[in-house]
Amino acid sequence: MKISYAIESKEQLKLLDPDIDEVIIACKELSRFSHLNLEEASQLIIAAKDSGFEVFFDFDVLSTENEFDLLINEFLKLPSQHISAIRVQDLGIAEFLKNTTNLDLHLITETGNHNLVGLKTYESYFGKRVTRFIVSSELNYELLKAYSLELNTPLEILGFGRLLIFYTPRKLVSHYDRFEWINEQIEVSASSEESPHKGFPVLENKHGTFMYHIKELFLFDKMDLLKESGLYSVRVDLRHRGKEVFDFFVENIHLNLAGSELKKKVAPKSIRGYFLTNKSDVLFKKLKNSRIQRKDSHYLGEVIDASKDNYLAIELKGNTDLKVGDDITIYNPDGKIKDVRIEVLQDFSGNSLEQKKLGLVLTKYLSGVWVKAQLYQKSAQNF
Amino acid sequence: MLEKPFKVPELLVPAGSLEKLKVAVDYGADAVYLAGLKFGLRAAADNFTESELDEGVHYAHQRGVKVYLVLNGFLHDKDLTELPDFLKYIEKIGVDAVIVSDLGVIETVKKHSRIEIHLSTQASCLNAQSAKFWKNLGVTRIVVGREVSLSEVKEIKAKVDIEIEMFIHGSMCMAYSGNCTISNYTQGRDSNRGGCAHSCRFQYSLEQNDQKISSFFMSSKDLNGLSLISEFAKAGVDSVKVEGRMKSHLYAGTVAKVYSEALNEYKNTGKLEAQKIIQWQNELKKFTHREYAEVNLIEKADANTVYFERENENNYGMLGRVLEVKDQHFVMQVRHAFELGHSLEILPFKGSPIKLDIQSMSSLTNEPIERTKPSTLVKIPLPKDQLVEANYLIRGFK
Repeated sequence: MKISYAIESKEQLKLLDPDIDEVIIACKELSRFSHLNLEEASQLIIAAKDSGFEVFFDFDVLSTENEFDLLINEFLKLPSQHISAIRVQDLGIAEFLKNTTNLDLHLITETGNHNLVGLKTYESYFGKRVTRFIVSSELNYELLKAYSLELNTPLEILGFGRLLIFYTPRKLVSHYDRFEWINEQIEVSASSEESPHKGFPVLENKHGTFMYHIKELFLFDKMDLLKESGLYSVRVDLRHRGKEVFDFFVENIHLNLAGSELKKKVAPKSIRGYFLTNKSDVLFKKLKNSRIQRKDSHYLGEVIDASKDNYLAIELKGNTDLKVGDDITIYNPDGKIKDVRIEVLQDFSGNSLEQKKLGLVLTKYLSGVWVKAQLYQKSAQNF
Repeated sequence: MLEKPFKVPELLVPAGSLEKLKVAVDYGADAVYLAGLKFGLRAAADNFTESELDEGVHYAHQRGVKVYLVLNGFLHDKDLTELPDFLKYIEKIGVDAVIVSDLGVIETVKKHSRIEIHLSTQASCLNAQSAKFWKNLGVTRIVVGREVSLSEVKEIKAKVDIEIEMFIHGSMCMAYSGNCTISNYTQGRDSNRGGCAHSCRFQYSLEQNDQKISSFFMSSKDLNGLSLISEFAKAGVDSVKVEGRMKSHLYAGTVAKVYSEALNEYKNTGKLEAQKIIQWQNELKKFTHREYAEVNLIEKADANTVYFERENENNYGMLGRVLEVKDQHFVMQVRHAFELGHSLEILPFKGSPIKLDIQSMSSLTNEPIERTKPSTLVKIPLPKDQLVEANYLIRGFK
């Protein structure tokens, strides 16, 4: 398993080993985040290649049609002969590079792409031009392991760094006029006043505004699982941290310092995200009151008025007739269930009916039955 | 020179439930989009059971309205296993297209059905090269990212032969769609599988050194492209889409009616009169909404498109709907209370709203009522010389 480092200086190169480490370089013009301009990035790319590293370039911004050519023009200024692969999220940029260059692509599939079928389709479409998938941090290690076995394309995941959770092209901070620009970017800390979440790093630059998780992601304390998962590479991106942290991490990971020890030193408040398990769909069933959700089988309709001692008004919506003498089950919004026999049916003008399918009908008032209660033929086994 | 009738885009309106589908269809939608109980991005919406889907498709098709079904979650492997049976069902009942954002879902749809595939805005297709990519993979229509302007759509249409659908009205994601996982990491709810907690609408304090400000800094104003209908048509947009499956019946009905009238006006005359635009814009204020903006339609959205306020309920809203019409009265299902002397507006499917001052009303058992209660039925005398039909919506000050 390789480690890919996002780097911004030649000094950082000296700490790395080209036999086991890879480098990622970015620039302000083409990348979501970088302190380097295109010229500085180009020099670093050449230096890294000359030092024997595989160099990957982050062309990871998204582009609308009007900006597309401008970005490509900037991109063409890079010393591409020194670059081993371009890291790209925008599928239009990927399509363009596939058709107009010979460069390898590292496809950033971090937003979604949580199934093997989709990743295999990318493989099939881009063929050998895609030489890596940068996969989502929402995939747990068991899935990563399965994907590594099933896919021909090597996988990379973020192992230590900021977790991007929001990306907009809109400039959301600079208009306040009170925050300081440093090196063409503004960084503030955002704390929700309506939830306990405090201290999201928010960064604005020429490409828009980015929000990161409050805590960094750190997976190196689970080195055994990282290795077991079959990942080709794990990314370390500490460009937001000081030189000391980068130096300390590199030195100690080379010395095989235990991940838990490393975590205490460099990322004590970090998270593992969804690396061990992902249950981000289990709360969905709590978002709705299932008791007032219609079930198809034996469905009759819904109570739309309950006038005490007078009537229940029902809107019949199902495909089943309601007849005098029918035994029905009523499911109240609070969960209470009543079994009753229909003794009376009337239209809204008070005319007696023997049966009714679809539309409006009145029946005898029943204590404890509320508006929105759902009606089913009694034989239904709905709940 | 454009020829009469002028080509206009399809009007695509959200249908968060079977009732809302009927509202959207009755008030003029050309197409509706909806979701089954799974695979969409609105887990909290009512959505449609299979028999509701069947009924909804039948209702829409009988009236010449198309039905698109959203399968736009970023589905995980385990979700995909349940998809083929559902695809077979929706193909059988005649759903016209599915709206998809995930490549794995696209492949599954292609493998198990012959349903047309529209690419969801969630996939953030922003340029012609991206449109080519998706077209090569079998997509027939692209819902472009909400960051794309009308002039950019025109460019994309010129470069790629593919249908383009574009949002014209409704709430906006502040992030590039599909590029926000705040809910995933703060609420444990996958925003890209239907669990968005709308964290962008929260108030935040922003700090840098000793500077601090409190703001709704990442909440977007709502999109309103009514005045730009001619630009949509000229750009070659094939379908204009209204956001809002979670929104009210009144919202669905009003946007369907207003945009359908405006599109018809353009279709027949090739222009929209300023006075009519003012009238339609006033209609679009008669339901809960945030401040409107054209956001990215003409220029790149800037700070003026941020909505710096807490969301407030509009005090003008839906009071109920007409359930049944008799010779002298109609039965109204009351959603919000009102009382004698109150002035209501009945919203017909076509034409101007009908003003109605409530001078008398009664229960179904003919007991006089002075003040209604929500979730009850009342009988109201019909207004003179005005046609009132079942399922008309009724609005007024709440």
